[in-house]
Amino acid sequence: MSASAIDRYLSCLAAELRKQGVFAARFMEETRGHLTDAAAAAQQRGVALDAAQQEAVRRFGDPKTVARRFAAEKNRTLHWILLAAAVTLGLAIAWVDSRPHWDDAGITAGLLLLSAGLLGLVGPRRPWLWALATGVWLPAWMPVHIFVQTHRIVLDPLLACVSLALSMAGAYAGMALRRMIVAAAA
Amino acid sequence: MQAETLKGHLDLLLLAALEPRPAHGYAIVEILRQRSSGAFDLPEGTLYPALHRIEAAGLVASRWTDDTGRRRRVYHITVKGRRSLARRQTEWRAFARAVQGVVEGIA
Repeated sequence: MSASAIDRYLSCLAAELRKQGVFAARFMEETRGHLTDAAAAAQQRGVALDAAQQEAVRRFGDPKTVARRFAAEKNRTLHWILLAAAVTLGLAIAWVDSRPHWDDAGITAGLLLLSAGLLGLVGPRRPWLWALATGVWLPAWMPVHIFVQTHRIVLDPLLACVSLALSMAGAYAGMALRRMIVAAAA
Repeated sequence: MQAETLKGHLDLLLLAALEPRPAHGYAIVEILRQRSSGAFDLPEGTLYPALHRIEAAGLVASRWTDDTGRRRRVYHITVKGRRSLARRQTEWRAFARAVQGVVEGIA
């Protein structure tokens, strides 16, 4: 037996929501109820079952657009909280790394990876932003710190590349983990 | 009417639709369509993100019901929602008067 237009639409919407990394069990149940009501109303107007279901899913909107809008609304407040957290974590890591007694680059790298990874896990829609907001402070802090101490301008492009690469890797790994969790939970 | 045109006013429309009585998502779409004589014909899926947002803001609340044998999420306006609706209605009337005055040239 072939799947109905409503079932096909729900599968497609669920896939789009998983791509966005959003848990949306309630929304999916509401959508099923909505489409069933809409198809039933069309049938009452004399439309055949298949056509009624197709009309219902057409009126509901493109699944990609619906999923994106749902994810955007869900993450609107979270976005600003995560951005503030990313900047705070990035500044804290840069400050700790600039201390005279601190010489463990491995721990700094691990902290960058872990911080960006957590942010990507919680907010999988903008991993690049969390990576930039976390990783930019380490290479930005160093020249300022050295200038204050020695009045010399010293730039370290390698540090900038490594810092941003680590935070990008962490944030995208977090995003991938979130998508796997959402897919497993679906 | 374009969905983008409605976007800025969606919260007001949803609160106004829920003001007389609680309703589930599909019923809200029908209320908007009927009250606007079919002009507000937005992609229905875009309604739910907005409903969830105003619920998170405490303007509406919802619960599952199965009165008719089918499980539905029914939304109702809260006290905070009614206050917000009254304020938005006042702002909207002032805005509509101002726009009409400019567009129609009414003093």
